[in-house]
Amino acid sequence: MRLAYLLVLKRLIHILVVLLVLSFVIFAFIRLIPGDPVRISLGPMVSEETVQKMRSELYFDRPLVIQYAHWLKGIVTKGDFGLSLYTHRPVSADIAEYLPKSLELALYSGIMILVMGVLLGTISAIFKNTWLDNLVRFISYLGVVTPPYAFGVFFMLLFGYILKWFPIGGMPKIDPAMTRTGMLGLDALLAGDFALYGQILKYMFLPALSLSLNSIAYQARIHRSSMIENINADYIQFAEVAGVKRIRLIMKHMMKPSFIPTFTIYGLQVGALLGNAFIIEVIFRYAGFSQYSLNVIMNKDPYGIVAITFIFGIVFAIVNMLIDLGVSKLDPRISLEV
Amino acid sequence: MEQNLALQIKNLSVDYQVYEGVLKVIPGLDLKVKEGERVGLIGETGCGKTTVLKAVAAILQSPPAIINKEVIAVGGKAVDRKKGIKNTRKKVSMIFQDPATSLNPTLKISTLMIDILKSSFPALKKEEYQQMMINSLKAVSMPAPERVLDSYPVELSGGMKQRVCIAMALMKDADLILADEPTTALDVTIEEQILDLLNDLVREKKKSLLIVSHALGALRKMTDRIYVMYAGNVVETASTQTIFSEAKHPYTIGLLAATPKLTGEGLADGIAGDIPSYINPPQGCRFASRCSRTTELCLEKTPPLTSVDQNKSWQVACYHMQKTE
Repeated sequence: MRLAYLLVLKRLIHILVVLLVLSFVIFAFIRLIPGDPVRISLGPMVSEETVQKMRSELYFDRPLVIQYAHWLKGIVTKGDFGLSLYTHRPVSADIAEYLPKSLELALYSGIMILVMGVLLGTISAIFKNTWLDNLVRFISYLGVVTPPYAFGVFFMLLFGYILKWFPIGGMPKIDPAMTRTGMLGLDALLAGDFALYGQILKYMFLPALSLSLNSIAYQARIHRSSMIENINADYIQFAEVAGVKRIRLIMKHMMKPSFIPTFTIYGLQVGALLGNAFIIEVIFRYAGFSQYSLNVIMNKDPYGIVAITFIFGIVFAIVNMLIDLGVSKLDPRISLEV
Repeated sequence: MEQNLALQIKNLSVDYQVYEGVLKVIPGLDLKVKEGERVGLIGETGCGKTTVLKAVAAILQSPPAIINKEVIAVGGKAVDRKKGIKNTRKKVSMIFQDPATSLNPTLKISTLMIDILKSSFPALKKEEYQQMMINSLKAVSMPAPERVLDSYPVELSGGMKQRVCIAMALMKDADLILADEPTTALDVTIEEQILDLLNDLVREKKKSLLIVSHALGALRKMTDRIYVMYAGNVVETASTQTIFSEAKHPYTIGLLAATPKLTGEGLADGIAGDIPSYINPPQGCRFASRCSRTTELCLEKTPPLTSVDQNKSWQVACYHMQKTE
């Protein structure tokens, strides 16, 4: 266990270095994009002096390194990511508002991907080459090749508009007094309002499903093939003859080694969820971080862009670290090197 | 069906469906193991020894294997394969060739052992399982059994892993132990230890043993009877002593002559040629193309197993067994 702590510590330092380099690169790139972000933000009617004044306030008229240092100092001393030119609020306030909503969406998608992907993959592998397997494989082909936005629009039409089982989009209003974490569902739960939680889940279901179907299909295929590899393994035959019960053989002896590739791929899928949510959040009018990121990028909001890149980097790094820890737990042959 | 048999195989026929066609690996095989008997199965690589063992343990992968006809009786009772796989499995245990791949790399030894024990002894206390596991590891002369139980297979040496496998195979109340080249993947220095251990345990617990091995010297020591297989057929069977002293089938003679000796007679002789293709096996004797005694008759018709002695324990499948070179 001490090894794991050391690993986490080492990884955190590693992440910090990567983020520093990443943020500087992004800073440099933003300067290369043509067009003046301050002018875009203030509009064409504002006088040149006002624009100059704001440029100066935001350190846009200084050398890149000075601007970067100023920005870094703000983060380290005040947790201040700068001012967004798009929302005209501190970027950190924007992140605090939007990120939890997307994380919650990603959480439900992630759970769906794992449960459904593994379930379908397992069924497919156990009933290999039967109609059930073929059906699952056909559906997962469809799932892999259909883009999420197509699912989104289709589900919205079918379940939202025609069948009216789910709301078409948006989010229910939640009492600001309830807000603690910024995750709507979690806040409702913390306030003990289960009816509201149910309602929120209803709003979240279609976007989460559209977001996860690609990955579910992909995960099912990965899990199927790694299960099949294990069905034919010597150690399964050995355990079978030695007398291990069939259900235990499948659920533990085959499942555990099969999870090694499954879990690795799962990490990548979950890490990419925030980015994949761009279009889903737009379609379902879900005011989350991905939609915010899209707006920030479209409006060339420099501090916003750097901050969202930062967040994506952190999410990816943390997910990767968790996956590495998880895989080393699953497979004793992998030793963690610190 | 005779009552004192631990295993009876009658007319087992196995094909393998592969890309090139159908491999007729085992055309029709008979084999018996009496209760308490230790039987060796020898023959060169690819002659179907492992297929026979896997068919008995009901773990032949199908596809590619196609089992056409079979009567496999374990413990004196004929087994209906469709219903009876569970019953068969209760009666047999198997030790595999490579201990490195026989143990699940992701499970601790204790996890695997408890799962095995639970099938024979479903509801025991944790401490009772622990005690049983330690006893079974002690029985295979494992040093520090507690530590081994808490290890993953990757933390054990090859010899230790095979000891663990043997311990696991002996855990349930199986009458028949199948051993598929249990020492091939091990160091030569460990080989004798493992075989001795297996031999002692089988005798001590009065089990029957069907063992495949290339270690002919060890088989001579630890078996009562030997089946010699060539290209899916039994070509000769007799008591171990008879096989090693007065074998009659030309293939058996060649196989024994191919064993290197320590007495300084130079390199051993091999048998020229290969096992025939299983896709289009020769119509007659499958050994004909490599045999010095081949005549027209050999090429036309497969020689049946014929008894040489009165009590039918010595059988040879050759038309020319009387001739000597």
